Amino acid sequence: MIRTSRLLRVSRVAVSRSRLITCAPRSFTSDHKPKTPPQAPTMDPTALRYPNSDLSVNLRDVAKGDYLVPGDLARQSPALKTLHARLGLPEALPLSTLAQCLTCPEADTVGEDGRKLADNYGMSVFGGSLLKYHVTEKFVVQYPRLPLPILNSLLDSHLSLRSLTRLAESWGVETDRRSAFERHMSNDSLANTLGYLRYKPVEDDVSNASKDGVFDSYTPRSDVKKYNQKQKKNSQHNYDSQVYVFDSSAPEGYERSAARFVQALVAAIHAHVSRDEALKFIDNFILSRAVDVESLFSFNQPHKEIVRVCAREGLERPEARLMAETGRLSKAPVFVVGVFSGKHKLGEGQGASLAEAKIRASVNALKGYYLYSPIEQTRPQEEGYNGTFIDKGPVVI
Amino acid sequence: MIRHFSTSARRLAAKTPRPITPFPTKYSSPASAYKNPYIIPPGVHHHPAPAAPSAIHTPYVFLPDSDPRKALLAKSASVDTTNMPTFRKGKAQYHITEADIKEMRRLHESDPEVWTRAALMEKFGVSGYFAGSIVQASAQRVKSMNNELAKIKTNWSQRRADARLEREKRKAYWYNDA
Repeated sequence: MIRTSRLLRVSRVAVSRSRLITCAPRSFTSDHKPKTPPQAPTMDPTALRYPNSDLSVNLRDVAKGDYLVPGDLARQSPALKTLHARLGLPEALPLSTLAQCLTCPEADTVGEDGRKLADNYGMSVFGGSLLKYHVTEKFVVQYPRLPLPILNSLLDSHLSLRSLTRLAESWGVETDRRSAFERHMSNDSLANTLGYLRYKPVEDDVSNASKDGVFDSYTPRSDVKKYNQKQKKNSQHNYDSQVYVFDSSAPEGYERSAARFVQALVAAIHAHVSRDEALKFIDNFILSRAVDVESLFSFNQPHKEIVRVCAREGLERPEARLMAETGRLSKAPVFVVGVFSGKHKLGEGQGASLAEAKIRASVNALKGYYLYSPIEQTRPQEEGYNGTFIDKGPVVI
Repeated sequence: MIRHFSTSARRLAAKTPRPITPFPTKYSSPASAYKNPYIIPPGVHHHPAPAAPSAIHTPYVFLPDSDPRKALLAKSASVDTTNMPTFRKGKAQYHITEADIKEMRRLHESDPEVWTRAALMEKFGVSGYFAGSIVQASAQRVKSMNNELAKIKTNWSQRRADARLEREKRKAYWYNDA
């Protein structure tokens, strides 16, 4: 006991001495802070941009393979079998089709006999469309008043290449980036590579790997970075959206290929089992992920907008009223402000100043309007569908 | 052992059944053994948490007529606002004529240094928003004012500059109510 305390004391002295010697007095600067103050994000419904998550890009120059993986060869692959079991895929979906889903168009899959494996290009285009349709339908029914930019952001958070890639990664889809030559040199048979995502790595993937020592699939490629910067400059609204649009002539790389696999899998279920089963798969794996829709909203002139909304809906002009307050003359006052249309409360906000509370109350009221969700949410493809609520659309400020 | 008032009060409280004011929650019976359990009258109870209202609950007036909640909320929807002061200074007056607007523009153009927005607000009894929609400062004046502001900012201490920046950042959160 005594010994340890003495040891501690000694070590503390040593630490403080070393600090005294080595550290120069720290200058209190704000160099690390951004020079330009952040702007309140603005929402412009006219800046309509559909999330480009589809992969129907031009791959005309890529040689198409026609060699389908034989069933008995696919059954020899443990990786393929475990992936099938892990995802709980229906029995009717054969392993050879799963292997085709994992083969990307640009992958070097030429076998010993010189034939190339059939790739997932067509399946991924079809699956991507099905995904987009089903997810859009779900949110249009669930939140019929969502402004288009918000809806796009929401779709994007489910369907962007990045989110699909993360999904594939969470499924434990492993990769094989080797060329046919490298495979040949390591004396690997085709069956051994079947359970892996086969694609052609792009230059950035390789350079990232060499730079950081690890293969970081999340670092955006340089062309994506450039595109995002351009988008930020051009767009009226700056949601932190992960819209990925690629130069269609560029090779595909990891992110696109993993997303392509997820989309192709949806198409495969559609082809081998049924449309309902494919939609159920989307419900279970894509729509089951929670996204905080409320946090996507941001308004430039909230009070003005709520006034316009009320005028359009034929309601009384909204008015901000002070509902409660405490410590007006203190260091930490709190004001609770409600926005009322006549006798009806539209929203409520609290803040350290009257202005803050009023703005928050207006934002709360607007969210209350736009996030309306009907009780009856039967989607058109479901049984007992009897129409859905259709909104008038966003207001123009 | 000395019996204090607190002990006897607690014993008395244990004997007296308590009315149900806060909603009964799960509580640890060994830790709260001295407390009498809450008496729960039969029926369905709705005790929402005392928290800021969520935007997920659509306000009554924003519900479309087709929604079944509209009829259910019809009775309880209206709020008595008589004791809630409004932010408005008074009723809209609509007292500005076209001649007034021309006069405002003339004055501002004659001497923008004197006839600023604030001066026009005072002379014509209008809001800053209204005055701003009638007269706008010229690009040249905006530039010179910005230069002046930049000059003032150079005199700010690092501490003040940081504080202003932090304030701007906090303010950005008002607009999405985060």
